[in-house]
Amino acid sequence: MALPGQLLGSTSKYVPGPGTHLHEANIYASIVGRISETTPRKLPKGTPPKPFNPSNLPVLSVSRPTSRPVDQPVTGATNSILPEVESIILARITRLTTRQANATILAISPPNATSSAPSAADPLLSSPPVACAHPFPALLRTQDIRATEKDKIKMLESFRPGDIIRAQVISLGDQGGYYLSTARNELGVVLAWDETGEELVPISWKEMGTVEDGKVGAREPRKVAKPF
Amino acid sequence: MPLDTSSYALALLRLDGRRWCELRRIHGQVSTQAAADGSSYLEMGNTKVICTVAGPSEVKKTGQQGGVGGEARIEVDISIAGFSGVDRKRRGRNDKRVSELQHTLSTAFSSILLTHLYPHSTIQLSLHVLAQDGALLAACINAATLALVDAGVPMYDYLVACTAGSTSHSAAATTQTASQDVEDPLLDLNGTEEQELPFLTVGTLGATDKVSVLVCETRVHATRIGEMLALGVDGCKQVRQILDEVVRAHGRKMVNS
Repeated sequence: MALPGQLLGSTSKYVPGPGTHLHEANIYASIVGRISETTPRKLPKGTPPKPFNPSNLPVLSVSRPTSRPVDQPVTGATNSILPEVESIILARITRLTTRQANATILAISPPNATSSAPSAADPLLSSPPVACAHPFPALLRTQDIRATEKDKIKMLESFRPGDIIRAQVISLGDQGGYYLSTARNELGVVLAWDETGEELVPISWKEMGTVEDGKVGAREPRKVAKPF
Repeated sequence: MPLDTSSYALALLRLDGRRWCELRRIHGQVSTQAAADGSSYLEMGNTKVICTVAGPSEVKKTGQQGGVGGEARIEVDISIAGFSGVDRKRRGRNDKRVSELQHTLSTAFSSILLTHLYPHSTIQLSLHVLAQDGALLAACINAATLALVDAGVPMYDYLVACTAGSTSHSAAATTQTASQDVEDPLLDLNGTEEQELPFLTVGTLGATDKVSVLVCETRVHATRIGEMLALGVDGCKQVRQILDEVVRAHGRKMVNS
C-alpha cells in the first residue's frame, strides 16, 4: 500500500502512471492506494514506440479502492448505490405542477439486476432494491409519463403527492435532480392512498380505488404500474 | 496571573507534566462522515478539529472562475464554535483572525496539492473547531491533510504542522549567574503557554526539512528563532509519524474491504 510522498521507484526503471508524480527523476505516490505495475505489450517490429514511453518500461500507478469504509456510518450501508441511467427505482412524489412532478428516490435496484433481467420481467423481483443512504431528488416530466398520447396527459390524473412510484432513470439530469420515466407498462404508481388515508388498489391501467367488502368504492385516476 | 516558568528547568517538566520536547496526545480519525468526499477528526491535546473536503468539483457560483492558470482553487472555511474556548467569543463571518487562518491554509495547500490536474475546479475545505487549547493552526493543517488524503486529492506529500515556543527564565546554574537568561525551547504549546510565551507554528512537507508554513505572531528575540524552528521541524517529523499510522490503519481497512 502506498501513501502520499512515498518513493516508488526511479524513472530509469519505471514510467509514472495515474496516482503518482515525478520529483528529481524519482516517482512518488500522490494518493493512498494499491501500487500496480503494468508491463506494456511488446510492440510488433516496425511499429513506432509510444511518445510517453519510448523505452517500453513498466508503468507504476497507484489506484484507490472504489468502496470507502466509514468509521462512523450514517446508515447501515457502507457504500451507497447511486442511480444510473436505465436503473429502476422506487420514488415518492413530493410535488406536482402542470408540467412536471417532483419526486424523491427512496430505493434503487442494483445495476446487475437491471442488466440481467428481461424487459418484461420486473427487475426488482430478481433482486430486492437497496434503500438509499440519503434521498435523491428527481423530476418526472409530463411527456415521460406514458409512451402513447403524450399530448393528452394530465399530471393530476397520473399521480398525487405521497404516491410511491416505480420508475426508470432516463438521465442523470442537472442540479434539479435525476430525470425519471414511467413510459412502460410495469412502471407507474405501485402504492397510493386516498384523501382519508385508505390504501388504493389497482383497478385498471389508469384507475385505482378503495375496496370495501369485495366491492370497489371511490375511484381515482392514476398511471398504474402493471401488477405482477 | 502570568505563567511562572521558573520551575521548568528545575523539575524538567511543564504544567501539564510534559518534558520540553514532548508532544501532547494526538488522536486522529479518517473518513468520519459518509456524505463528504473526505473527512477527518483530529485531537492535539485538548484542541479538537473536524475537517471535511468537498471536491474537486466544478464552480458552483455563476460567473466565478476556478484557480489561476488552469489550476484548482482551494477554498477554506473555518468555523470556530462558541463553546470551543474559555472566552466564548462570537466570531463573525469576516473576523480577521479567522480570515488569516483561512488564507494561510489556502496558500499552504495550494503548493502541496497537484492542483494542475483539476483546472477550473474548486476544492473546498470546511474546518470546525470544537475545542481550543493551543496550536490551532497546526491542528487545522493536520486535520486538513488527513481529510485531503481521505478524499484522494493527489498531493506531493503530507503537510504536517507543530508549534514551538521559547521560555527564558533565571536558573541557578553553576556556570551561570542568576541574572543570566537560560532559554529553553518548548514543543507543542498548550493554551496557557501560548498566551504567555513567544511561539511559532511551523509546517513541513512530509518527513523532510522543507518548511511550507511558518507563522510567528508574537515578539521574540531573533537569536531564539533558530532553535525554536529546529525544534518545530523535529516536532513535525514526530507528528508525521503519528498521522502516517492513522492513514496506514485506515488504508489497510480500505484495501481489505
